[in-house]
Amino acid sequence: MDKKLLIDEYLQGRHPIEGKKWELPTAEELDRDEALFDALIAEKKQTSRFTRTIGRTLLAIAAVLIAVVALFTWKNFKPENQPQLADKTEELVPQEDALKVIEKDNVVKSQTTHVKIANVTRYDRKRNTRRLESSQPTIADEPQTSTETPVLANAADSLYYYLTQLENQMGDCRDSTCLAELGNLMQADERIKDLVNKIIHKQVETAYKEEYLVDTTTRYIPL
Amino acid sequence: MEHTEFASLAPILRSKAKAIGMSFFSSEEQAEDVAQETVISLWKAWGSLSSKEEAERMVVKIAKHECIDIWKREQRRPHTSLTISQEVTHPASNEDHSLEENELVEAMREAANSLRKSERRLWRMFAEAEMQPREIALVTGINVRTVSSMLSHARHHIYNVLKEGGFIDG
Repeated sequence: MDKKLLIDEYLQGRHPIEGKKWELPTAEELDRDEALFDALIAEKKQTSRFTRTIGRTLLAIAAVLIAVVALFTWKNFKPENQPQLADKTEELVPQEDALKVIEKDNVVKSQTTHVKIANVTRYDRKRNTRRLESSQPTIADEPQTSTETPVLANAADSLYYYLTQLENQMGDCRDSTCLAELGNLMQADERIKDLVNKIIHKQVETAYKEEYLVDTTTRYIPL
Repeated sequence: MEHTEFASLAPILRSKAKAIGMSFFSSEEQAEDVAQETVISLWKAWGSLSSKEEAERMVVKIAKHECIDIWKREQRRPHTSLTISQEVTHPASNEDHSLEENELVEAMREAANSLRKSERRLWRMFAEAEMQPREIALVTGINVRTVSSMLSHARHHIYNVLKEGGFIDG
């Protein structure tokens, strides 16, 4: 066929070049293709379902892995697991202890200005701790301490009573008998002061053991 | 059934065929091709159909058949993205064609493939399915004048491509 004629026929729509016939296929052909179509669609759905399942599983595994890695990373950042940081902390710990000692020393000093028990070194601290531990009341000793307190309270009350009586009687003291008793009274005064200081010292030691929770209003009596 | 009834049913049948193509290929382009091929086949066989229900049944079957047809061609040529207009079929009298004629036919096919998608579909209905512009308008729902205008533009484009390829003198 002439080239020009062929082109003219094609452009006029009278010469198909692909040769496809748009005729209905036979019933068998249609049924066969329909069955194949349905099978392929079912396979496609199954594949996509499988892919989704695989994808979800991979996502779950990835999430678990990320969580585990994050956990280990977090653990590794803890100072005791890092040698460099651990060394630094070891260096820092004595400094902190030293600071604590200084602070404790200051507290003790401020509270014991009149009695020189303030220069607490680490050795003193250990020694005091051992001593306090040894003097720690046992279960058997507990009833004794409980009975000691009322006795002391009664004695203090009695002393207060007698002192009041002495004050009342001192107004009438004009003769030499009173002067004769003055030495005894002065000695009693010294003994009372000593006794009070001992009580305070004991209180300070207890407070030292119990993290310095001491009543700051308590002061030693100057001897 | 009368061809005049086709115009009222064509949009429904076309959308049904496109939905089947979409479910199979998951591609808008290929689904459009399936819908076009199905509608053309249905148009050709419209006279033999007795009722609307039969037409609806047939459109499903034809659409599935077209899907399988395209899929088989893709299986044969897995490395090229195939569309209906790019398919390579052997002309009926291919054996008698001379080498020059084969070369010209290939050039005309390439020229048609270089058309825009909308034009290419209309041109395919016109040149391959041998449908008249009025029939194309009836099947596609596009105005006859628009169809004629687009076909004229497509014809002009193919002519120019062939001229640039040296197949047309002067």
